[in-house]
This record gives sequence, structure tokens and C-alpha cells, in this order.
Amino acid sequence: MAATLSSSPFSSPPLTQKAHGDLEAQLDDQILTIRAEIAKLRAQKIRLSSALLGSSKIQKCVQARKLDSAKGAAQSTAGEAARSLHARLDRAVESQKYENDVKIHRLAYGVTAFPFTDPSPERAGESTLTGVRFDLSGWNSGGMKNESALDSYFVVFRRIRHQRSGNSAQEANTYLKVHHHTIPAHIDLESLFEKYLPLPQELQDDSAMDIDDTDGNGNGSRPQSESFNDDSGIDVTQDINFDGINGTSSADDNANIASNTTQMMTAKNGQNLHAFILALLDDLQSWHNRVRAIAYLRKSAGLPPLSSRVSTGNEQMSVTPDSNETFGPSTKYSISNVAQTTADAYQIRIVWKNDALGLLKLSYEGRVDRAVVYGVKKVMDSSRGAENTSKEGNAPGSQPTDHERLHDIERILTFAEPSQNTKVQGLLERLKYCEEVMCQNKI
Amino acid sequence: MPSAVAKSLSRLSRDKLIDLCVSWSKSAQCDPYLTTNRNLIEADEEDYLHEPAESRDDLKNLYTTFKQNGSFADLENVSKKDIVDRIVDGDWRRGLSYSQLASIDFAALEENDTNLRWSALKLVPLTRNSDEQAIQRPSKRRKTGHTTSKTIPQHYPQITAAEFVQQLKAHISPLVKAHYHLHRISALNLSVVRLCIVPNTPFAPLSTNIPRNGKAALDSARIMYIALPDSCPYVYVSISGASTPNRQSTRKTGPKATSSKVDVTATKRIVLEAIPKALSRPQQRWALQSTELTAKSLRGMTLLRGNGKVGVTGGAFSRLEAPPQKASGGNSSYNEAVFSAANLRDIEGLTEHEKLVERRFGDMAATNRANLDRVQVRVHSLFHQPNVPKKKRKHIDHDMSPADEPMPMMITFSGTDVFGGLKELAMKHPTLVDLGKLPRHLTGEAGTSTITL
Repeated sequence: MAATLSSSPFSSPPLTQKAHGDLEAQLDDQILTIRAEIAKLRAQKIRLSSALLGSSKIQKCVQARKLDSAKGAAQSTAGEAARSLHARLDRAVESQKYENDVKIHRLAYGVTAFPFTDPSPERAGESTLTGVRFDLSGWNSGGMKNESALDSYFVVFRRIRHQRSGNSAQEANTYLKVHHHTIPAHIDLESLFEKYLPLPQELQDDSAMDIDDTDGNGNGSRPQSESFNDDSGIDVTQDINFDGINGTSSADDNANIASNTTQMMTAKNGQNLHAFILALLDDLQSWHNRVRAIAYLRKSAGLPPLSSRVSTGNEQMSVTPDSNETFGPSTKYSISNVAQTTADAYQIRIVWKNDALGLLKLSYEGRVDRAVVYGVKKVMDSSRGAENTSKEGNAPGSQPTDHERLHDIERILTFAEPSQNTKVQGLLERLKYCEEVMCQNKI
Repeated sequence: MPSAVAKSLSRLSRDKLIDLCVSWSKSAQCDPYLTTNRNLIEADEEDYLHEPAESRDDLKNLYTTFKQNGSFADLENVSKKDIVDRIVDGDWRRGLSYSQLASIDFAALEENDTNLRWSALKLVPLTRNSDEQAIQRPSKRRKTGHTTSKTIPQHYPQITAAEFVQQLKAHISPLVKAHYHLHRISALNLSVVRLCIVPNTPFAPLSTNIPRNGKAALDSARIMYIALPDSCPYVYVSISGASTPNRQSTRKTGPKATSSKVDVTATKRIVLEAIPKALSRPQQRWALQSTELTAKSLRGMTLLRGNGKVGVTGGAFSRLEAPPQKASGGNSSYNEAVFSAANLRDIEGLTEHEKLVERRFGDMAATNRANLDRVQVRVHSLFHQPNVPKKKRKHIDHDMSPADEPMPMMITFSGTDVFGGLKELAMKHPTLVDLGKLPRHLTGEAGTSTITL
């Protein structure tokens, strides 16, 4: 930019340094907006074209034409160009149909399995891994924007064929061993593996590596060129013909898993993939539910959504609303902030407008287990509290005596009649009640 | 001569500096020099080069106007240097308190993600004995969980950062006196504790919160950081290098200087050993374990050993992360399949080799990729494993002993983005990098910075 201007010093009036900078910034801005516009349009084009290809009308048309051409292949008068065009269209429609099928499977079952080809040379010849994909109805940005998006997590297994050393009979079992996963760290995957997919002692280390090549479900023969993301969205029960699957229990049902334990143990190799998947899905779902409930609370209280990096993990470092930040008068229930304090969403922090501070502890199911609320007495001399904590930075100092526990509020937040909704979702009504009580007591 | 404080202040950008001053003017822990709180001697010696403000509010307004001037960028523009001068010689001429110095460091960290070098440590339960656990667990359940079938997970410490600081202080205060500053980086779901080890006075109480010697308080050898990512069994520590003690030792003489250096190292070890103890509770004790990851970027650390989705930050498995973030305009599930189709189309233009490179290394432009600035590979038996690639990108250190036995060899890759560079190399020079032999840990898949073969 500067170079082009300086190369023609006579034609343009002498620019000051500042004007240079301004012009440059302006042009940069313009370029950026144009680029963004291009990206947006491109995305829209792709979306529209895929919608068009995926529509049942087009699909039918193409089917009909195919039939026609099959019938009268001999008398086809179409030229070479038209034929290649048709072929391309067929391919596009087909792949779109495939994509749609995959999506339907993902939406319908929540858990799908797919073969994954690891291109690393270490696994050459034995590179087909079994991937399991968990799709959860998502909340990609605090439950506001991406309400409908699926949030997906993966566990990729490899199959190990192992012959128990003590066994005299020619009995070799196939074991599943986790190869790679994208499950967040606050889910205790290790103990789930231990419980549902135990490996024999000899396989605990990485030395035994022979993979069962005789996997009979034929997915390996799928042409890889068809989809780069070679997921075949096929239901678990279809895809993994695995010992010890009991198709009875549902995802929400913990008790079922427990009752199936005996059956699980009777499986030939002691591994139960089905129970493992259900347990993991349960963990993921309960975490999601908690996060979404908190997002819902924020939304109902009129707070902006927390952009949660936890969920996607791929946002850029952006300026997120600080969980300690407080918001203006637009919020309801006299609340200035509600947020989770940790990524696993087991704790909620509530700040009221009168500086009362509450911490709620949630249970696994999202019930409010415990609550601690501290109120600030109005008579408090602000400078005194400040001095108390001044020495050690932000580290919490001694508990200032001006704070008092608000047992009434705590009881409201945790009290539960059997009929009442004690989950976080029901917290809104109770927050309303809290507001009334606070007003009455003039806390 | 610019003081150490001025130097550390001038690391910040102008806007950040002003923000910091505004927050200081509100904070009770940072006493500014005002006309209303100076004593007689100070008033006598006043040279009115930087006229003191009347009150805290005036001070705040002053810095706010600086900021506005900056955005208009035309009128009397107050440069960053002027502001630094004003802080050091004007409004905080009595010296900056420990917490101010700490907030400078954190502002610098937020501005520049790669300011410090972090290493990740994993927290593992201390009692690994499974029999013991089997005995303990049921009894605990009976006590607490009468309604819930599942309890809150026990595989990472359920402890808040503030509580951690208190516990840590309780553990090390007999041996180490330090200034603690807790900072929350909410964009990364991370709390960072900064410890500034107070020199020479382990048994004297802190008389003032303004360090006598600003330089000693900013000495990077005396500062250590402990980052606690939310709800995951990892801790990152940054024990910065000891550059300044060397300089000191040239000035001071003999054993005294070395002893003080040893002192700092020992102190840091004490702090490190206290971390798992501070996180522990009765019935739940932790120990630290290395995770073979050291990197400069804090963001990269959270991606590789954090509380988000792990395992999709590079290598072949990174394409599991759908949808690609290329067209971020789309935001519905509907687009997911579409984007994968778009991805396909992008890739169609490539040759077979380039496709393979894409598959092996994953999308390097993805925002969820962690850059590693240094990767060390230690090869123990080179002669038995001849398929270790010998193509390096920037620096190569061969530590080969002149013996003919298989000897351990160390290769260090360094640069701003090691795996990105390797991918580029593989892309442009297919002859140099044999993809058929490139092991998977060299595609960034394992997410470790120390690899032992």
C-alpha cells in the first residue's frame, strides 16, 4: 500500500503520515468486509445447492430419468456431453442422498458407528478402526444460536484378537481397545472402560497389537472416494456384531444397565460395548442438560449467553462475558449474573443486584443439591472490607463479618416437595420467590 | 535509565495500559499519589511535572480521556511512553504494589498468549490400589448418595481456585513467603495463580504491599505461575527461566550469589511439591505426573490437555471435528452435511499425494489446532528402527555418540508451528518426507512435545 503511493509521488497530492494510515486502514476494512461477504455467499450457495439436490422432487426426477435411460438405453440420442453431465448429476444426487441418510441416522439414534481408516503407517494393513459417534442435541453457544446443531463426540476403538494363555481350547476372543477419543476430560472415561470394557491383563500394555482382520460387516469395502469423511451412519446394533449386546435398555435408563450387569459378565470376553455406550451417553447427556439448563436460566433472566468454549473447543480466543461480571438493569429477578463456575457445570453462581452471592451445587441429574447464599448488610462500611483483603492480592482473606448467611433464600432454593420440580429448570419460579422474600426483608 | 517497572509496563499495548490504570484507580489495593493524600514532605518536593489528581475519580476520568484521545487519533495524542512515565513518576510514584505488578504480568499474558512456557502435569489419584478403592467406595456411597445413582465424578479435584490458593499458602507459608495473585481467564476456562516469591525475608511478615525493590519483585526467576483449568485432571505450571540471577551473580560476588540462586530453585520445588497436597482432601489425594507436553501457547495447552474436546487438535483424527470452521457463517445442523460436501469439493482439486497429506496432518488452518513451538524426539534404538524420518525443518540437533552400538539420539524441532511446518514440507517436497514411513506422532496426533521411541 505504502509502496504504491510512494511510487507515484507526483500524481497524488502529498499525503501526511496519518492520511496514509487512515487510507490503509479503510482499505483493509473494505477488503475484510468483502471477504466476509464472499464467504457468506459461498456458504449460502453450497447450502442452497445441497438443499436442491436433497429435495425429494429432484431425487424423484433423477430416479425417473434413470429408469427411462435404463429402459431405452439403445435409443438414447443424447450426446457425449449430456451423458457425462447426467453422470455427474447422478453422482451428486446420490452423494446428497447418502448424506441425508447419514443425517437421519444421526438424528434418530444419537449413537452411530462408522469404520475409520487410520492412514498412519503403523497401522498399515490393519487400519480399519471402529468409530462410535455420539450426537447430542447441541448448544454450541450457550443455547442461543445453535439450538438445533448436533454436538458430536467420538470414541475410536481398535480390535485386538487375543488368545487367552490359560485356555487350551482354540478360543480366541476379539477385544475392543480404545484408540482415540474426543470426550471432554471431566467425564470419567477410564472407569467406564474398566467397568464395561475390561481387557485381560496381558492386553493392558500396547505390545499385543494383532487386529481381527476377519471383520465380517463388509464396511471396509465401501469406496473411500465417495466420501472423504468416511462415516457410514449406521445404527450401532447393525454395525457392530458384538458379543453381549442386549438391545433392551434405553438411553435414559440407568437401572437397566445395572440389571444387565450379570448378563454383561456372561459375555464371552467380559466386554459389553452396548452398556458402555449407554453409560457414556448418559454422562454426556446429563452434562449437556445441566449446561443447557443454566443457559436457559441466563436467557430467562435476560443475560447474554456465555459463549462456551467448552462445547465446541474450536472458537477463537474471544472476549467472553466474565462470570464475575455483572449486568445492568435489563435483567429480571433482581439478578445481575447467573453462570456455571466450572466446565462440568456442577456449580452455579448467582449474584443478585443487592450484592448477595449464591452458590448452588447440582447433582448428576441436575437437581439442586445444596445452596449457600451470603447477603451483604447495608450498614457495611465499604473501606473496611477492602482493607481486610488488601494484603494478599485477590486471594480470599478472612471472611468479612458484614456478610451473613441468608438461610431463607437457601431453603427456597433447595426445598423440595415430592411433587415439585427440584431440577435446575424449575429454579426460575424459585428465583422469583427469592426476589419477593428479599424485597420483603429489605436485605 | 528506564526502571524494571517501566520496562515491564511498556510491554503492554497502549489501550491495555490505560484499561489497567482505570482498574487500578478503582482498586483499593493500589494507592495512587493524589493531592489529597500526600504528606507535607511530598508536597514540598512536588515538581508538578505530572500534576497529581485530586481524587480517584479524577484520576479515572483522566485515563478515560487518554483512551478517547487515542481513538480519535488526531488531537493531542498521548503516547504510550507518556503514559508509562506518568504511571512511574506521577500517579504511582510511591511504587507499584505487588498486586499491580501481578496485574501487569497478566495483562501481558492476555495480550500475548505465548509469553510464558508452560508444562502440563496430570493429577492422578495417589492410591492406585484397586482393592483399597473397592473397599472404600461402597461405604462412601451409603453415607452420602441415598437418592442419586451416580455421584459427582471423583477423577479430578473438585476444588475452587480460591480455595486452592488458601491451601497452598497454608502448606508452604512456613518455608516460602510469597505474594499470591489469582487471575481468571474466562475465555479459556482457566484460573491462573501467580506466585511472586519474596526475597530474603522468609520469616519476616510483609510490612507493606509495595515492594522495596521493584526489580527484585519483577525478577522472572522469582515468579511462577500455576494454571488450573476447570474440571479436568491437569495443572499447568510455568517456572520461568533464571535469567536475572545470572546478572546478579556477576555483580555480587562469590558464594552468596549462588546460594540465593539455589534458594530460589529449592523454593520453587517446595511450591511444586505442595500443589498436589493443596488440591488434596481427606479420602482424595493426588499426585502429579508428567504428560510430556511443554508449549508456549496457553491456548494450545488448553486444547491439548484441557476441559474441552480433546484429541481433535491435529493429525488424522482432527477431521472428526465436524463441521469444519471454514464458513463460519452457517450455524445450523442443516449445514453440517453440506460443509462436509464443501470440504470434499475443496479437496478434489488436489493431487493424490496432497490428499494423503491432508488426511495425515488434518486441517492446519482450523482454529482448534494447537501450535507446538518445540518438539523433542528421543530415539533409543536407531539401528533397529530405521524408519525414523531424518528430514528436519529448522534446527537439528544430533547428539550421536561415536560408538557403533545403538545409542540414544535426540532430535529437536523448533519453530512457531512445528507440525504445520512438517505438513508444508510434506506438501511441497514429497521426496523429502515419505508419508508411508512418517509415524503418527510426527503429524501432531499424539499432542505431545516430548516423544520417546
